[in-house]
Amino acid sequence: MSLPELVLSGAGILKKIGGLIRPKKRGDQRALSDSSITQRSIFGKNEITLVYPQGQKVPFLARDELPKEVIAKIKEQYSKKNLDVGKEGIRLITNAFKEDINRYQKEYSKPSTIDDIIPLLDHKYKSILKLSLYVERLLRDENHERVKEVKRDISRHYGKEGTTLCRLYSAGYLDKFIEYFSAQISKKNIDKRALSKFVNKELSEFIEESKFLFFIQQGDNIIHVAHKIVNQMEDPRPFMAIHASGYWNIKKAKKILKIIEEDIEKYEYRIKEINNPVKCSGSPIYYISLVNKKVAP
Amino acid sequence: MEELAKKAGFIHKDWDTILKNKKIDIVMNNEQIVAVLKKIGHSIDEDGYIISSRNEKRVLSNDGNEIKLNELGAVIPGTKNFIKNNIASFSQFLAEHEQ
Repeated sequence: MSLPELVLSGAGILKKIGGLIRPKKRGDQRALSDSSITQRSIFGKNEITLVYPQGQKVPFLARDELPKEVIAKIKEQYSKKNLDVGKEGIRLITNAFKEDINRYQKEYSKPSTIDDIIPLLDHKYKSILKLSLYVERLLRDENHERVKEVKRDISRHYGKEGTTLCRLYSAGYLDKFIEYFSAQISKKNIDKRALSKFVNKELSEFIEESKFLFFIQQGDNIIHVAHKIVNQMEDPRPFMAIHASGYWNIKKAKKILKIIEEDIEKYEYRIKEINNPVKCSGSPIYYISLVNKKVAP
Repeated sequence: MEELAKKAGFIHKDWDTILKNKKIDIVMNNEQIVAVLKKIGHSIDEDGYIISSRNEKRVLSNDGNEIKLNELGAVIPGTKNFIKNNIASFSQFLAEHEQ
């Protein structure tokens, strides 16, 4: 599947856009966030350590410093090179982070649309796509504050590449890609190693080539964005798109469209505006595709 | 204390029983984690970075950057085991290690 095919197929698929325990009910604890008198009394102490043995949601409470045998075990494990850390080991977790990783790990192991292609992906892409699925879930739950935090974390850890891949996934550009390669991997006699190499190369190139997809966001300067779009038109690009989500960003996108109106005509682009193809967590979505008439008459 | 813990519904087992589990999460505050890290040979330099016990150099997080104590989210056995308080850092760890 070529890049324009992927992009164009994606254009029509915007549907996606879009420790402590409660004593009354075991297994439903929200560590460190309960304010019942009993729990407050315990957490008034600074030296509390919660220990969660494998598979247990109810912690073992350690009052004082970890005993020598535990430290020795940690030391032994941390110097071991062949430890299967996915299956064994003592993890030391800050109490501020525990709830975040619990929620994420739960979401991470749920079945998803990308499961079939997961074995083909580099760790980095696997992680970014899993985070993108998490963002999608948080949007569905209308947890906008957390969405911002996760997107910030993706940007800090993976830079522009992470942000771009997450946006491409959210805007539906990867739907056909995922569908296509999910079908490929189930074929008999397929060379999975070669397929994996190809998939990761395609993803990398897609990210690189996505400069012609403009995702309007808070803080964007409309003149600057308009200028960038016109620069791409001069190239000329066969396909470009502007995405905006939320009232203010849509307002910006419409202003940008107004600014580049004459250039659209000059460079012979056809506009397709889609208002609200889908409502994602109450936010209106606006999408404009610009197709070069000469390349795709 | 023990009584309060009991009321709050904690399980009480001795450490020998706990250590028989293959996977254990120990949840503590940053200072307590530092205390454990110091006991296994790590240290913190004057700028707040974690120093490795192996080579006396600043340890690297799994994003390839040095890590300060106040950025710490988790420490996990194995290589690239310092996870920042950043869900993407943890996700990268899962991608590398979980099946």
